[in-house]
Amino acid sequence: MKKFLIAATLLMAGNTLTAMASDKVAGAGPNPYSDCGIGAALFTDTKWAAVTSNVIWDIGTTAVTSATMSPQTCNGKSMKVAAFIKDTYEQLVEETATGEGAHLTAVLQLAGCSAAQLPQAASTLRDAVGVVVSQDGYSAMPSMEKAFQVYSAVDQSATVCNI
Amino acid sequence: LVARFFFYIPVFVKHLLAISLLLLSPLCFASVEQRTLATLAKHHVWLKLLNYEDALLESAQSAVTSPEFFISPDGRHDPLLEMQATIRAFTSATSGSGDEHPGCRFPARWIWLSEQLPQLFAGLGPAHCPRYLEWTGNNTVESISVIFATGFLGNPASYYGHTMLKLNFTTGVGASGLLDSSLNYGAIVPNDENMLRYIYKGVTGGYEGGFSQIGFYFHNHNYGDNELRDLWEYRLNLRRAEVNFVLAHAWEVLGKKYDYYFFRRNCAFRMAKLLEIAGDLDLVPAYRPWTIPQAHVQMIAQTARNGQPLVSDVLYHPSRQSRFYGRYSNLNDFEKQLLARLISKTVNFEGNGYTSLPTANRKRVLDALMDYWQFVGSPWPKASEEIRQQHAMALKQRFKEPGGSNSQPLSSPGDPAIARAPSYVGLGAGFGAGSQNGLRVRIRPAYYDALDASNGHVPNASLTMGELWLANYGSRTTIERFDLVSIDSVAPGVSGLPGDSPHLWGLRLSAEQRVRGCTSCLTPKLHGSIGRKWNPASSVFVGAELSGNAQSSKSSDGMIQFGARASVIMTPVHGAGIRLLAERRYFASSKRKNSTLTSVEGRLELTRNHDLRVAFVRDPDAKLSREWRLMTGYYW
Repeated sequence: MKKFLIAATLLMAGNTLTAMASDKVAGAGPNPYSDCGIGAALFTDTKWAAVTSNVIWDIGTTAVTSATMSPQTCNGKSMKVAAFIKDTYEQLVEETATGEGAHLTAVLQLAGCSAAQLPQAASTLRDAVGVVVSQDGYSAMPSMEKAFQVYSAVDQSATVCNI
Repeated sequence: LVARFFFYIPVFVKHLLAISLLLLSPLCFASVEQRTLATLAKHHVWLKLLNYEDALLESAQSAVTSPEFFISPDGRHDPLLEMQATIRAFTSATSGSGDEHPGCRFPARWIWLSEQLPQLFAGLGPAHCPRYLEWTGNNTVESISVIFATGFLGNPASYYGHTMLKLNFTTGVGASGLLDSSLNYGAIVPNDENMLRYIYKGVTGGYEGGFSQIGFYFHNHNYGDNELRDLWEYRLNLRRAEVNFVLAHAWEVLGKKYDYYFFRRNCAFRMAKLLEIAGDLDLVPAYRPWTIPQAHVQMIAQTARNGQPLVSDVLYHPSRQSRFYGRYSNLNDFEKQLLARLISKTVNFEGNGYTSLPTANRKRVLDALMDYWQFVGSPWPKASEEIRQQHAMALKQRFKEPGGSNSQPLSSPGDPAIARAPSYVGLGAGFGAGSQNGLRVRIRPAYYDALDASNGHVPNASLTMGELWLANYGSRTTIERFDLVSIDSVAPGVSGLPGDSPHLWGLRLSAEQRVRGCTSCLTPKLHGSIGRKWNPASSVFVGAELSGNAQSSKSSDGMIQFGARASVIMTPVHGAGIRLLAERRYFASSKRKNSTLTSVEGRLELTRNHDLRVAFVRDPDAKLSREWRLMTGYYW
């Protein structure tokens, strides 16, 4: 309940994020950062602090999923995609820029793309993420907002894989 | 609902049959207990399943402290009672389905006991365990790897590396390996823990520890990009049944708590114990009070079963730093200059110096530039706004170029699993003035010095803990020096770009004879140094440092000393090196005369785990003013 309240508070404060959530492409799946309340659960400093001391305990998708997921709107796949984007953001975006790499392949696999569908989905994703990083003020965006936008791009790009 | 009803019918029938068998069979539970259970409860596999370990001052007990790991209230201390309670729970469970079924909570116990007591389990089909099935990817884990993360100087607990397990799913789920799962063992430490308290509690078992599980991509990113540590993956040649048995036991201990001990019962120890459940494996070096992760992977690499090596494949996952160095080394001179000018902002992406370059060259420079900003900004969550902006500009520019990369593949460094062993003992002789000739002994539990850094270590650096130097001067034997911890860090500084300077720093907490050759001048000392290095040739290291010492106030040398040190290390061929050292010492708070110590030391690797060293030390202000030393060493 506490995580829900934190997430709700953050989302209410984040006008941009909320606006983007409502602007998502029709037919696209729910965005876990906004629709599932994943943001506050995933983006906490405590996780980073725990990792630096080489101590990892009950973190990651399992805990987040049980805390925030709604079976009707937020399936396990979308949560896994969201967690992957958040945890590997820099490498994923760089590989998207170069158009190749293990992280790019992995996120599209998670989103449901087969090997044959990967090239087209990767190309579409490259175009979409290129728009994201070209925005004014991109580097100053909060991590959650960046991940949110890239998730949307992945979700849209993978529609070709889920037909 | 109707479907679920029909699903449960066979399960119900199975259990009805099992209960009937138990009631009617002459081999009922009571008779099994009398004849067999006492023996089975002492079986090494059962004791491993319960994590029974010898304790120092008490009888053996389970290392797991979580009560829910035991079915019997006395299960932590009595393996027979736990076996009886387990069998009772298995055979009396009313439902064959559901995550709370005893067979779902303890699938490895189920597997083993059903093999040992087939008649008792004959009527009991395996329980249906949705969560366990999901965890194993519907039984698609085809192999297990051991992951070794090389050492990290940002955290004392990580100086000597780290190991974890990776569960490899069948192709299609995670072809790149990033989507495979990983099992990690660590201490549970509060945020913002005081470092001294952290060390004390880590050493004395003051923390709880446990296994956790998360996608491998998380660790790959954290270790590789935030901590700049290379990862080595050793894929194990285990049979499918062995993989399933290890997985089943991993499920049993996942989330359970242990007492964490930094030196012995640490990550490498627990990972080894988890793997040893597969049988016929001995993966923890015995008879020593510590478990070094690199020694663990070396044992794995040296293990063979049925004529087959235990390791089937070795994979290298380079860190961000290694990727940057690899890309930088592959740039031509013009590209390197352009990279430096982009970083210093003397040229920008609109300038002719950049735009006139062919596309392929621009892409190579941009790829190296993105790596550079990530490397100097590491750990990225703490990167400055300026670095984030520069990285974002490079990223944005990269999107303007065509996709595809023409970077050359990165070469991998030496495999840490085939390096020398991490502990060292040396025995030799010292020759000084007549009465100072005698035996010399050097014992180093871990890890490496400037001349014997091997695979997985930093060249020309040193990292030692608990190193003891003993000397015999005729009729007297004394401690020359004891280093509780000693670090000489060498930043590679391959590019020499801002933020990648080839700097040095050192820290040593020790007790050493204030004057060389003295037998009663042992003085606690804290030593620190800072400097930089040059590499005039690939096999030549030149270092210059300023240093300071603080020592016990009882010393007549005063509490504070300063110094300046120059060193040259040459490694003309693999396994042979020579180190020249000159150190000027200034005794700031005493009347002792300033002096210069000079030394030369040569090392020759005879075999992987044997070496020979010759050294000469000149210290004009000491009792032992000149000494030749010859020593042969063994790594273990």
